[in-house]
Amino acid sequence: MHPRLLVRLYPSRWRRRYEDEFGALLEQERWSVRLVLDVVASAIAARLDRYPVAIPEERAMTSRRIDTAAAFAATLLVLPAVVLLASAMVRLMQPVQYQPAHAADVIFTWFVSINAGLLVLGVAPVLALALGVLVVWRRLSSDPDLRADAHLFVDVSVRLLRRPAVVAGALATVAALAVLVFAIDHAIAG
Amino acid sequence: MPRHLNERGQPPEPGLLILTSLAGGPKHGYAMIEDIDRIARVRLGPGTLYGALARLEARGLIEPLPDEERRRPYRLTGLGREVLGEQLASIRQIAEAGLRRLAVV
Repeated sequence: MHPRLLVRLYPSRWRRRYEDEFGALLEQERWSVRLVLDVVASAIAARLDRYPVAIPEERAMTSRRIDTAAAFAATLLVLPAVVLLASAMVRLMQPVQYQPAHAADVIFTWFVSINAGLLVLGVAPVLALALGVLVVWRRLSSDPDLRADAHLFVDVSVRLLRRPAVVAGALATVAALAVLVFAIDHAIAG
Repeated sequence: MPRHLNERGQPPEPGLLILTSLAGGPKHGYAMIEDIDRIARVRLGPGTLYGALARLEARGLIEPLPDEERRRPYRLTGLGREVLGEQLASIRQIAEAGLRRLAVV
């Protein structure tokens, strides 16, 4: 195995800074399973670390804004689902004429109405998606590492989509998820 | 359990080993691995070494020097020297207290 293949496991910001010298060190080391595991574990740690390499304060601020936007978008998507499931659960625990099942029933009924469904399944995801696209677009123009990662992602995705087995597997997964969602919806609503 | 491992069977903190190695002068990655192997009987993997190097550099404890044929030496910064001194003094204090209680010294 060529050392460069292992170096590719690291995030692009890390590679930009350390690729040459790290590649040179790997070429000097004797190859073993222990060495490969060590590098793979270190690459995973570098990917999980938000700031594995020293970055200027201005870019750190941008990253923090993106973190905030991502947290807001996740809340926008997850909170309605949590409220829906919680109200459905409480509503099933006791007769609806008693509290808190009555309040849960009111919330659940509102959620399954067409307007709330439009809000939860339509507006909230679209808002979250728009927010995500906006922050990534702003970041793309100023961050060459993110552009490099995006190119790599597109490149790998295109290669995968050329394989019929991968496409068939993805379609089967989507179909299975659709059936699961339909089954859950059917079980909750009625 | 080998004597150079701690109570959890792990080698000492890589960052401390790297700072200790660089206290003897600037070194590139391979020289650090060899030096640490010699002084602490711990052979750091390349991934572990560079993970620790990146963290130390981000904290301003070490700094890179101009590269020499793709091999880049590193050296301690003033802050790194100060932090290493504090850590080693703390370890020495603990070691001396432990050895006194064992009546080894």
